[in-house]
Parts: sequence; structure tokens; C-alpha cells
Amino acid sequence: MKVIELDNVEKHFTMLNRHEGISGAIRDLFSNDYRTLKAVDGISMAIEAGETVGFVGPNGAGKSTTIKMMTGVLEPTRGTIRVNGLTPHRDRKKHMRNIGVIFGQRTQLWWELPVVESFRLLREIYQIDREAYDRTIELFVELVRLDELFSTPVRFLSLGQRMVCDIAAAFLHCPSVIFLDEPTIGLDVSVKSKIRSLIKTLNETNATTIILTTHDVNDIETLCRRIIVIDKGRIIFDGDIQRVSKLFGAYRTLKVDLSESHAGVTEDQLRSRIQAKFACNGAVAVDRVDGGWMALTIDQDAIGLLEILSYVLAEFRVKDVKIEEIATESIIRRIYEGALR
Amino acid sequence: MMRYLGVTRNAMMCGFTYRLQFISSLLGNLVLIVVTYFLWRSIYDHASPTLAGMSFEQTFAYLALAAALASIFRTWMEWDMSRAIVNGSVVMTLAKPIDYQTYLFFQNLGAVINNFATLALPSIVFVVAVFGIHLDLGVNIPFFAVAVVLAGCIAFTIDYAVGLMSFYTEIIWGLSTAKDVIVMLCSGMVIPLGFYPADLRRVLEWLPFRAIYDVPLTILTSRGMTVAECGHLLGLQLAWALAGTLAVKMLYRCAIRVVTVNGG
Repeated sequence: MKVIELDNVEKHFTMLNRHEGISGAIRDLFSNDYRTLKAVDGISMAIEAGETVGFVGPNGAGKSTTIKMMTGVLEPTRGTIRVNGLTPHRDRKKHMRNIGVIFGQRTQLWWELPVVESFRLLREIYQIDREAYDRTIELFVELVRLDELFSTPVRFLSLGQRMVCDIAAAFLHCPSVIFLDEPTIGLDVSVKSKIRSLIKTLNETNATTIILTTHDVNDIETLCRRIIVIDKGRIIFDGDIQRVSKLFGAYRTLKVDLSESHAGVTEDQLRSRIQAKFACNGAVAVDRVDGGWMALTIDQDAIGLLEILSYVLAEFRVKDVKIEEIATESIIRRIYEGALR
Repeated sequence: MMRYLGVTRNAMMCGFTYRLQFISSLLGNLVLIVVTYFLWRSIYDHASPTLAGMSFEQTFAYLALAAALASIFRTWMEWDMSRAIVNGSVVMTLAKPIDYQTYLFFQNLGAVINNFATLALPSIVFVVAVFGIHLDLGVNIPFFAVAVVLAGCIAFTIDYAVGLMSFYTEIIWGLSTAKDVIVMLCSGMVIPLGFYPADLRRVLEWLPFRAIYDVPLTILTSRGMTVAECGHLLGLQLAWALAGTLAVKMLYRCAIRVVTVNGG
């Protein structure tokens, strides 16, 4: 069953063209010079119940705007959005009952009050019955010892603790869809992994549909099967995360340790010599890694890894060799940099 | 409706977090009342024992109570609304299955209750104890109570309307300041409306501002008001409260369509 459907959704913002400096600022006061910014420019997608979908894209790609439209807070300029069969910005109240929202940079908790007061209010606002409320709280106590934070005022919580509480707050009313906008932003490694397993467990126990935006590839790798890559307001990739890897499956990285090479080779020298030998521009990218290691990212469609390896072995004094599959992170970086366009 | 009461409870608790604020706000209010006393004392001493049909005692009682009422209604709500728009945190409220206006009303109610208990009551006790104002209390008390509630509703709709303008302009500093001045001068908050020239008074009769301060204060401080007169004034307030509510509902419908949420 489709939970979320977006059809050709656009969101335009009108912005004043601002000028530099004091004189520019004064001129802007009387300016009528607007431009339209297409933050989201024709996005269509469908998401099944229970799916965990990762929304990725460079900063300013339109991810958050898309999320804000799906939550019903923003009204799309064009196109239609259906979530649980409702039009979010029109059937506001009914729609909001079914969704949970987390914005990593904000909190919905009452800053001055102990955490539990925010939960209590949410129970009343969403009219959650006692039993369901206790069940969710119990789950969080079990998973992350939430009870230890109950009586702490929110402003005294660390970022990680606050995020755990915010996630609990968003899940309290057992929403069918949860929007997580950068839930792991600014958190340390151990809290990140805690939050990931928390989200995973909640997705599995409640069959909650989860839409996640993040800049941390590990979030995507542990949580999502499907990723949607957005750039400049458009979807540039939508599909299985495995497929992304295959798209770039031809790439592998050969790492060689040249620290004992007497000539002290630089990456430029290495690159030019390889290019001179094989005459294949761009098929091999050379980067210096620390400790005398060189990373050669090789497009195997253009040239064989073994060929490069035997050439390097013959030409330089190689101390050690490693071969790596390309990491999701660099794949996504390549997508951002335009590999799919 | 009942599910919003928790918002009031939380807002009240928030108010108690910063304790020193009570003392400084109360002190400010008391200073204002003392200054008002001496200002009007000297005005009366240099003029005649009655001005605009009011004795000094009546004028001071009117203005001291106006200061007490003003301390109740001063909740800075429109500033909070504007700040939530500027930093984007409004999204957390808008993404809830609530009516924005009702939510803010009950949140504001928490601050109003706090203000009543910690500012208005001590101010009134101070005025009675130090200056010994005399009020004819009787049947007008319940009318006054109803009038204060209605006045609060009208003050809320005006603040809320100004706050909603931040959906368009983000910052409402100028608008809010202008509103404060207009309310201050047109409502009887700092000058009893009886002191204005007759023509201006006729204009003010037709504006909603007098329903906030002048109406409840007139009910409490005028001698010998009939029930019918009180009823008439309450009816006027009710009409403004309803008209205001309707107007801000329409304004919200337009504003919510253009709201932008700042930040990623």
C-alpha cells in the first residue's frame, strides 16, 4: 500500500535580490526586484507502508522543503501530495495526528520544563490512551533508559539526550509515518549508533514508515534499503541502495604504500606517468592518503586493475598493497558532483 | 478544548522558572503606579478638584487599576510568535494536530494567570494599602470580572493579529510598537477616555481598544451604574471579541498559506 505519493510537486519562494554593502541595503529597502527560487522543482515519488527511505542530497538541495511539504506545514506551489490518502496542508489536523516529525536542529520539548511534562502534554494533545502511552514509554526505558532523563529540565540535557527524548516524543502517538530531518546531526559516534538502532527497532516493532534525511552515510547504510537523491530540487536517483553501488560497481580503489620509494613520488607524477603509459584520461584518479599511501580509484570498464597494479609494482618500490571496494560515501559524493547527470 | 489545558499548565510552569523576573516586573509596575499618583496629584493640584467629571480619587483608581490590568495582559506573545518564525521553530507547533490560535490562546492564558497572581494582585494590594483608594464595590464586581475576561480575549486577538503579520514580514518590531502606543492611548490605559475632547471620544467609541481598559474600569469605578448600562457595555465587548476572533481566523487562513519555515 502506498503511504506517501508525490506527483510533480513544486515549491517556489520569492526572494528579494539583495545588494552588497550599506548602500545596497538601503537600495533594497525600496527595491522591487524579486526572483523566484525553485526550491523543489517537480518531484514525484511513491513510498510504501513500512519502508525506510533515505533522502540524501547536498545542502540546499530541497530535502527539508520537501519534508516540510509532506508534513503539511508548507503548501506546495504546484503538484499534489497524498499522505495516508490525505492532502497534508488541507486536512491538517487529521493528517498531523498520523505523523511524527523530528527536525534535528530543533526541539518540540518545552525548554524550561522537565522532559516528562512535554510527554504529558503530548499525551493530552494527541489524546493517547494511557495504555499505549505506557507501552511506548516502557519501550524507550528498555532501549535507552529514558526514565533517567524524565525529571531533568530540557535545557540541561546534552544534545544526544535531547535527541533521544525528541525521538520518543515523536513516536509517542504511534504515528504511521515519521519524518526525521537529520536526526543524528552533531551527535557523537556512540549516540549516533544508539539512535540508529532505536529508529530501526521502532520501525520494526510498529511498522512505521520512516523518511530520513541525513548527511551521514552510515545512517543510510544501517537504516535504509532505498535512497532518493535530490539535487537542485529534482530527484536524480531513486532506488535500491544496492543498485547505487552497482551503478558505480566498476570502480575499485587500489592503495599502494610508496613510502620506501626513493624518488619520493608525488601524486601528480604518479598520475601523469600512469596516464602517459595507458592513455586513459580520467579512468584512474590518484589521491594521496596519509603515511606514504596513494589511492588509485580505477574505472575497471576502462582499464583493468591488475594492469595498473603490475605497472606500479614494476615502476616503483611498493611496500604494501590494498584493494578496496568503493564506499557508499564516495558514491554519493560522485552523484552530488554530477555523475548521474 | 480540554486537551489544550495542558498547554496552560506547562506555560504556567515555564513562567515560574525564572524567579527573579517576578520581582523586577512587580517593582516596575509599582514604580509606574507611584509615578502615576504624583503626576495626577500635581495635575489636579494645579487645576480644579474635578476634571472631566472625575475627582482625583476616581482618576487615580481608574489608572492604578489600568496599570494592574495592563500587567495581566502583557505576555509578549506576538514577540514569541515572531521569534518562532524568524528561527523556524514554528514548524514544531504547526506540525501538531492542533488549532494554532487555540493553542496560543491557552499558552497565553498560562502567562495571564501567572501575571494576575504575581503582578496584578500585589499591585492592587499595594494601591489599596498605600494610597487607600476607595471603590464602590457591590453588584459591579461580577460584571467587572466578566468584563476583564472579555477584555483579555480582545487583547489576545489584537496581539495575535500582530503576531500573524510575522508570517509575512518575520519581524514585527515596528508594528508591535505601533500597536502598543495605539492601545495605550485609545483604550484609557494611561489617560482616562473622559479627558479627551468630545469629537475624539466619539471616534474612540467606535474602536475596539476601549473595550480592553475603559469598559472594565468604567464598570468598576463609576458610581451608580445600572445593570442595563453594564449589560450594554458587556454586549459591546462581546461583539468586539466575536468580530476580532472572526477576523483573525480569516487572517490566519491567508497567513498560513504563505508561511515559510526558516532553516534546514
